[in-house]
Amino acid sequence: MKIAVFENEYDAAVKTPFQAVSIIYFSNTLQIENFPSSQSFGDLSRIISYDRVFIDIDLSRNSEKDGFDVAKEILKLGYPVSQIIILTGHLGINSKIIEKDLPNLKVVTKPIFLDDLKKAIE
Amino acid sequence: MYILEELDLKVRKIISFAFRIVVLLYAFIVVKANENLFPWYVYLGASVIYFIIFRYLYSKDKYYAHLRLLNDYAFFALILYGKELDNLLNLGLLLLPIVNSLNHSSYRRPPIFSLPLYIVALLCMLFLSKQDFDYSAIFALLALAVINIFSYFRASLIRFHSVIHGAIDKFYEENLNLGKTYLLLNNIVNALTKHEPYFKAFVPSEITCFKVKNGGLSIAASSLFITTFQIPDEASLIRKLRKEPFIKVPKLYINDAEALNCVLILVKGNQAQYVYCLQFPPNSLSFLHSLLVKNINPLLHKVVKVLEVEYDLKLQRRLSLNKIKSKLHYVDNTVKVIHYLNNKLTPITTYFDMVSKYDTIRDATILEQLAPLIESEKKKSARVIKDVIGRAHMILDKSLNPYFVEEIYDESFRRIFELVRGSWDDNDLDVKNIETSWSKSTYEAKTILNVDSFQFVLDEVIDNIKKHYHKFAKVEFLIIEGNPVIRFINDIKAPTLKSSNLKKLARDFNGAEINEIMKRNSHGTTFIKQYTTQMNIKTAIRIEANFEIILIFSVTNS
Repeated sequence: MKIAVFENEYDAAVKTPFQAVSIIYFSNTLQIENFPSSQSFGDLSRIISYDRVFIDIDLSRNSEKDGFDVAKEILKLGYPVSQIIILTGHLGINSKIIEKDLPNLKVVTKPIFLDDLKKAIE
Repeated sequence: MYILEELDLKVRKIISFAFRIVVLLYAFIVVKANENLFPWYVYLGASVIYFIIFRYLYSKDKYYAHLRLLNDYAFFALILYGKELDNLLNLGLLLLPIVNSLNHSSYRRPPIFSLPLYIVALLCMLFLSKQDFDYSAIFALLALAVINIFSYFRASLIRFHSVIHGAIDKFYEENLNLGKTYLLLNNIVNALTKHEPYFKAFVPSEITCFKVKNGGLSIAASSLFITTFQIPDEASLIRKLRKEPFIKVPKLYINDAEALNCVLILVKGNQAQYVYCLQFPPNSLSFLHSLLVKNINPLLHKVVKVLEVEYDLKLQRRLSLNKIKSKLHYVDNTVKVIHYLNNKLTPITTYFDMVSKYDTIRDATILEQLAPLIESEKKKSARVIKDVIGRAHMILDKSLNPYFVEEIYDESFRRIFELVRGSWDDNDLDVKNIETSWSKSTYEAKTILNVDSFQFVLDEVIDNIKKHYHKFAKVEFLIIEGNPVIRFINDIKAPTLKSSNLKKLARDFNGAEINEIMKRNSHGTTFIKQYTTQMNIKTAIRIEANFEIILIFSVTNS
């Protein structure tokens, strides 16, 4: 399974839980790729080749778009809603998603718990 | 209409009535003192008809004033018909309305010169004198007219004061008008130019108030919307104004246009000095300007007072906003720290997650792959914990805490009593239910307090009473074991009074451990406990027949 993770603090906080979930639950078959900014992904139309997309709301300062914009762009390209997961340490994220006119996206909150991450990937 | 004008109109109406009584008595004396052409009952009948017509015309306005005048002179003509006008008694009757002309009772104020009055008086004299008319009487009438004009000007001066002070009254009547002092200057200019045509000759068309700041002038308020102004050599003008009552400035620029006829006046306020610029129209009578400056000066001082009160309020508002801003920063900072902690805690939760899963996994391959991850996450977690603790301390920093009472100082129990009574009254609770047994010496004694924080406590206590009381609420000022005590008492409906929640609240509130009350969701009690503790006020909640909140103060001097 191929997973794109838009996250600017990937190595410091997110990489290990993904690796651990891959080892424990997916026989280490998850192909996880990190993109610290929106532009680091390049042409977003390629997103269709990923099975899951995790998006942190606060991307790096250098990022042209924040997490909400990335989610909007991907949805515009016809990417399935159920395969987008918001990754955040912010409180009250669900109301913010509604404020931004986004559909009811899945959310994994930080600090990450392995079972929550596994459920989101499944 | 200004109050003084209203009063003036009422007095003129009364005088008008009294004047007719005087006319009737005077006419009686004239009839008694002269030989009469008609029998006595003609004069009596004429007097009755005269008075009835007067009563009919009395409360009417506009041209009825002229009818009243005609009625007067028709009566005089009948009384004096066939009598000589060469004695003062008889002639005096004809002159009475002229002498009384400033008491003209119409809604409109008396004119400076009433041509109809003098013409009617003259015609009446002509009619009564026939061929013997003494034309020198015209000079007497003219002299009376001149005296009346003098009196008119004197009355106008009083009216001038009434008008300009009325402008200030209007400013306060309309609204609090905070931040709109320019309206006050507008009112003054409007009152002076619109209400009285004769004032136009010497009153300003615009008034601007400048504040003296760093040796120069900055606009404080103006009757005219000003975008730019240019006053030549401001600093030396200000220096000159400190020595002279006013200075005429031949030319300055307002809104890029020449203002030619300006007078500058310096007024000293409590906080600063102010310079008024009175801009006069080109045809203004400049020799009257010094008189105007003298008259208007007390008013300009009043406007400065309004400006300074407004400035104080603005300053207070800014201070309050700054205080709120620091609290907002605290909240914002807390949210950021929590977000930061959520991110930073991931290595710790992942480490413990992996350790607990490791114990349950039997697959050797998985365990082999997981072991190095656990090891590296363990090191990462140890590094992260220091960071997490540092950030947590940031939130607990006392100086940032919104509950922190910044300053405490000595405050009298009289002030505390006033604060409680004020809040009680402001919240529409019955002030008759305030009972005090504090003595004079208690009121004079002091305790340490922050008035703002104490007001917050009071608001919370009274809010709570208003929310829960059923039939009565009361506050008592007592002395218990030498300490001044305030006891707030209110009844609560029986089921609530006996509820375990309320008992738990009282237990937590009264407990020595402040954390217990901090855990609660009821922000009000947390608030009360936090603030009173910092102000060294002991507190207790007692629940027996009623609900009671008790504040126990310590006295700093006796």
